[in-house]
Amino acid sequence: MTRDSRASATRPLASIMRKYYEIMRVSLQSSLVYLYDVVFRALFLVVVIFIFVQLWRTTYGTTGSTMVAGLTLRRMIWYLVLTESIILSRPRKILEISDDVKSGAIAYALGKPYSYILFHYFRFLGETAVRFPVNLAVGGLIASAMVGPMDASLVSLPAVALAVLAAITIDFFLSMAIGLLAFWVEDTTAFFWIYEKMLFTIGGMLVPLEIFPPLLQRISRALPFNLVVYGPARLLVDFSLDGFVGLMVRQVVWGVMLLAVAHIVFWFGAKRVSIHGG
Amino acid sequence: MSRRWYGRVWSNARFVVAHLALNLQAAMEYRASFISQIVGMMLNDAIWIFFWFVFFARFKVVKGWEFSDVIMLWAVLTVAYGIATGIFGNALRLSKIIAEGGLDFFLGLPRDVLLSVLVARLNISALGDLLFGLILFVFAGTLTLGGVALFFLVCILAGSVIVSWFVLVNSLAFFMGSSENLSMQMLNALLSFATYPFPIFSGPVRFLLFTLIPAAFIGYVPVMILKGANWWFILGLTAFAVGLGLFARFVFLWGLRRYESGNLVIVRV
Amino acid sequence: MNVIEVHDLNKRFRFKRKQSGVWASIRSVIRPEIHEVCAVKDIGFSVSQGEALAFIGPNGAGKSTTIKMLTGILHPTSGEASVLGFVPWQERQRLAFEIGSVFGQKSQLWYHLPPLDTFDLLSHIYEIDRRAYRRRRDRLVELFRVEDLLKTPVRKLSLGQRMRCEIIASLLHGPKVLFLDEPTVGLDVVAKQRIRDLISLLRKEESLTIFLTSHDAGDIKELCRRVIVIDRGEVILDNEVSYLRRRYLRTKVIDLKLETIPDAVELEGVEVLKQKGYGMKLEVDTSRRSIDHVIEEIVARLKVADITISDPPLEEIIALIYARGNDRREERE
Repeated sequence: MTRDSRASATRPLASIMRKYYEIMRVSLQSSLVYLYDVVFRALFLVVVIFIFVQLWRTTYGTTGSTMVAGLTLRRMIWYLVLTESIILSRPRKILEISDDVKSGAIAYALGKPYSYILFHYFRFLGETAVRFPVNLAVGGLIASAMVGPMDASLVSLPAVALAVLAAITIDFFLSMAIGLLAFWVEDTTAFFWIYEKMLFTIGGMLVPLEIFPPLLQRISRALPFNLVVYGPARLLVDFSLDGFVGLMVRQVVWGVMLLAVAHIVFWFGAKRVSIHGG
Repeated sequence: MSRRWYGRVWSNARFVVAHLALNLQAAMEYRASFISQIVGMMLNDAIWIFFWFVFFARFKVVKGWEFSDVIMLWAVLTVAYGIATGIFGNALRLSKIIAEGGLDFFLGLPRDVLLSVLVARLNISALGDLLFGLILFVFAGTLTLGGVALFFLVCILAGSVIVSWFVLVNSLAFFMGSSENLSMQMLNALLSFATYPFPIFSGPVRFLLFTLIPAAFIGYVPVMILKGANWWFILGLTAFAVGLGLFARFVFLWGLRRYESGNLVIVRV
Repeated sequence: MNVIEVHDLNKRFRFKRKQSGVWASIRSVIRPEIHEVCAVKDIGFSVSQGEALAFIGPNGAGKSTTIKMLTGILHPTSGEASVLGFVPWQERQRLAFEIGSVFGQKSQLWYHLPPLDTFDLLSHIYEIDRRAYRRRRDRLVELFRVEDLLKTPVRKLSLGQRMRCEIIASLLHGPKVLFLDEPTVGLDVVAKQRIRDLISLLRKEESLTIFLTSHDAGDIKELCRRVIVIDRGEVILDNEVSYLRRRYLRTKVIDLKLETIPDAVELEGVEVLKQKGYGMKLEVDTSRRSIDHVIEEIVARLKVADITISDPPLEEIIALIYARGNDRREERE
């Protein structure tokens, strides 16, 4: 039996990287087909930001101060624009992955020469690369119209972009690990909700962590959820180099840990695959 | 056929109950899913209460609304939503059903089309909402006979507004083809506006919430009734619920004449 | 040389069972009954290079489970198998480079994009050299006559067109074994024929080994020489397709067109399947009477305008084999 060189363990790294790059490109292309839908869905942000402006304008008025949690009203709203954009850009990976597991479709992916987890990661990047800019633009427009344009320094933007990338990466590996629980649990919908609501609350989507009572603040900061939402948003409205470096370190450490967790869950899951075959 | 009106009501009620029983039975087939959807939805709701807890811990009162008012608001909303989408589960998916020609089946039944399609599916997570709302009410509500009766009355009225609104916006599918996205936006808008204290909104927005997006009728008005039991509020809510119900039904039946049936090819994705 | 070898392969699944009724539902929520089923039981066979094998059986017989084990997707409960020298469930990724699969029910083309985009992506996924890829793709595209479809989004293709693209997608990397699971399901007669012709052409040209599961007797007849029948997880037959006919064909079918409407006909060893007007359909049990004798007798007794003698269709033979499998089991039990 002659085995092809491709099948050997030492494949060139370049062709492997190219493989995942192409997955991302095709995914982006495919997402662009629904651009109209994406824009339409982003209109939900108009409602959300509109309500938030009402709520916070009233609240700032009630407290009588110009600063809440170290933020002006304008920055508070821009903080929310970024958190909401991150949240609304998330494809429903948990449900998608668990559907894959339950329907047995994951089996077909197992028969392909790529890592299932990385395939979905790059596909996820492709999808998010379409949704996030659209959401940010829509949210940014309504915010600019209601409270004025973002007034933080533009120099910080590349750093914020990097933090957002790290944030959605953490979100992806967490979602993947949770979605793969479908190997053991019939329905992961509840986990999906709980995780999502963790992001909404202690992740900091609805309010910056500074508003929390002290104990809760400590808990939130110890968990990874704030790195997905609060971290990059706070960086946008309150940039400092120290803040950026601190965030990056925590994001990378958590990212690597969650990457490992997702792979371990996958490994155990794949071992006990039981596709209902006929 | 000259059956008395109450005969028809009785027959339809039995029809609804039969569906409910069957749907519940089917739902329990998937053990973990059943439980986790209910518990999941309760946690989901709880986390919003948590948000308001954090918010009011910091700001105490916002335009006369306190934490207890928001609890009452959530109690009404979750019970109303739970009743509405628990029994009429397909209200959430009606536009999809219309656009994909899914009404064919229901048109073949010897029953009212709208009722048949609405009750054909149970939204399991709605049971979680219902349970959650009841728990909130036990903690925050007036636990007298009159208090409980009034609570359920406003919840049923608010639930009826929710179902009617869902039917109304989903009926757009008759006129626009695939309106799923638009309908979903309208549903989200209604629920989003309803979950915030009404006084934070300014004049023109308040007008909007009593008319185009009637969020005030499912959140603000019921809470005001429970707080003060002003007869005008009760009368207004009842009138609106009945009016919107009739209007939604009229629009649905009107749209039904333009229904294009199931010429859609089911694609395999 | 054997490309696929399977020995004593077993796979057991566990699942929940419940009785009907509200109470049973509630009970199953609290304490489910766990049952175990044996999806695949001690099966063994081998397939040599370039062979085309039909792997058939009724629904739930264990076909998909076997394929999934052979492609490394499922771990067996026990037993051995090797595909192209690999143990599938241990060397799944390496094996993946060498095999292709087409699942009629599951698309690998990106729904919103033209097939060409998926082809390009697959070329990277399978790490195919650029020039070799383009050469291979162009050849397959020409062979399958899909030049005009390459730039049309998949969602706009007909099922037959899509299926041709699916097969190209699974052949781009030049697999040595092709697993086909219901490749013609849902297609019309012309499209089915087209797919079959292409597959047999490829098999001859590339000495591709074909492992086919299908409920369509036409697929089996036209693509495969050998057939394995599996039922309730066990191999109940492994032989040439032509043997099926010889072994199981104890009957012939005679279609008659008569000049007069006959009275009731009774012939020894012959069963009247259908009689309507001038037409008549008979089944002859050739183990009891030779076909010559029957025809002589018919011609002597009736005024025959036209006569056709044929074998019963393959579907019936397969149905017969499944049924005998059932009988055997019942005897044992």
